[in-house]
Amino acid sequence: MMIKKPIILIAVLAILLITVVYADTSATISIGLTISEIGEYSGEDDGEDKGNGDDSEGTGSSTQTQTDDEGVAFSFTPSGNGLLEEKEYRMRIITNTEFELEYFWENYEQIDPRLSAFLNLEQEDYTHEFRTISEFEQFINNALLVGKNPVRRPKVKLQSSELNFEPDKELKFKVVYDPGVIVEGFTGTNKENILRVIVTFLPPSES
Amino acid sequence: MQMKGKLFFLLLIISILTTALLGVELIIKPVQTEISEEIEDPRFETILPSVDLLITPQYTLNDFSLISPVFERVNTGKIVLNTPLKIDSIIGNTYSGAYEEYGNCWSFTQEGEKTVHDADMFTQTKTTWNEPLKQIQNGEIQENKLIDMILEKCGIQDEDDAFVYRSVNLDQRHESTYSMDMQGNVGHSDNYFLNPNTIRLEKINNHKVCLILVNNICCDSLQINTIEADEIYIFNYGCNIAIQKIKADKKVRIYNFYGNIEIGSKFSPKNINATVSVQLLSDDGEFGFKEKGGETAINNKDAENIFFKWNSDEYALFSSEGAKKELTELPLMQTSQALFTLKLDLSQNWFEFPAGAEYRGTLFFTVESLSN
Repeated sequence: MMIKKPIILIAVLAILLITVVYADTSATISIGLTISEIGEYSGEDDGEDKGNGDDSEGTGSSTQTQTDDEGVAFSFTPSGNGLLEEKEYRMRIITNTEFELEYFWENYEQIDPRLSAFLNLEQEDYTHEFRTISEFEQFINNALLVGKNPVRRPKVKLQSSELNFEPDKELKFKVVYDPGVIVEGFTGTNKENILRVIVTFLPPSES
Repeated sequence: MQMKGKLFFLLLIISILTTALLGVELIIKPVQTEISEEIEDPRFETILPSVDLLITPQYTLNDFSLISPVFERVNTGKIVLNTPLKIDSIIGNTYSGAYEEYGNCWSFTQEGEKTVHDADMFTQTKTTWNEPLKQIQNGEIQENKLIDMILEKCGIQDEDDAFVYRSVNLDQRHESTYSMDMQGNVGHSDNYFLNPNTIRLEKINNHKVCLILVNNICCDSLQINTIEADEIYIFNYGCNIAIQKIKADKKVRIYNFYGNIEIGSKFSPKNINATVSVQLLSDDGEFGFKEKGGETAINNKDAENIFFKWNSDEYALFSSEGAKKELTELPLMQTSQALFTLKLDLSQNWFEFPAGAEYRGTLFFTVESLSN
């Protein structure tokens, strides 16, 4: 007990002294970082069309993709050979912010009723939301399809949060031209149809 | 066993105390207090502005060998003032055959302070003392007369006002077969130093202090730990004087004729080795940067995002253990500089960091002296 007191005293003194000696030997500097917004997009088509479910043979439909300030324009002109035509377009969105994705057929009223397009999501990315393929296909038809058949929907608007969006993954749009769809009174020709996709990056405060 | 443990603990504390007491304290100060950076494009590397660190040895008044605005001397012997010194001016004269050595000097007068010194008033030279020196050498002067003369030259009117140490031996020299002169040459010489005395004084504290040592027979030694006074006068003829610390508010004046005077310790360090260490912590005490009001963090857990470098070294990955840099041979009396730079490379997982997100982190720098 006699030995403990001086040891405690010395220990307290040592701690006090070290505190005094080393108090001024440190410095701090605070760093604040702000992440800027990245918002880029680009589109491209796959360069080959698929006719009547046959991957190997083209049907002669014409495609073109243009990226500008207003978004991406996917151009599709059916060949008019009476066969089912499918065309896939790809779009890459590079962003670290939320965005709105809007797509529609330009000049909707003049669009060929045999033409439809949809955002071709991959079912494997939505297994939590849709248990079966038919549920998933129903969702596409009910929410993502733009055209006049089987439903009339001129425009689709989506939030990136609804898309399970991953920046390293491409978005795919599928255009389907089905000459089997008979629409009374339609006497259109095989003219160019433009699927316009508009991306609006939301400012961080609104995202 | 218990006793051994206590003993070990005691020794540990003593060793820590010793280190803390003897080590030269270093102050580290970044030029910037805050860095704000916008990461323009997180897909690419962002190099943050370098942190400019100023490292200054910090001395307390107790660390200086000599503190005085003015140091006056007339010297024909050897004067050594060891580092560190806090002094504004060294004036007077030194003569052929004399030796003087001064350590690094820091300003006595603080920045912005205006002190008028009477440095220009000191005009004495060896000529002033030629006649008395001749009389001392020949043993022709009376002790009281010599003391009065020295006190008068030092401006001490009343001896009661001052601390006066005097040791005067004015016996006439005699021939000897063995002798050693002031330069340490052994052999026949006119100077003889036999049977020297050694006197130790601990601390002198007075308005004025006057040390008078005269011996033309042998080389006495006077050792003093500390002198604190407004004015300090030392008259030394043929003796050795060693003073560890001097603190004079007005002046120190030394008349050193054929003697040795050393102030401070010759073992004082000439430079310092130091270790600077840095930690990067977010507000929650974890390594890295934490998002303000959010869940994400830049912390090298998912990807190698934060790198650092010292000065012009290569970048290295910043780990939660922190980063260390050894700085060798920092000059004692100067502020040294070290640059610390952070680089952020978010290219691997940039999409995890949302636009507009604000991240905060704090760099904690610590400097530690490795030698004293």
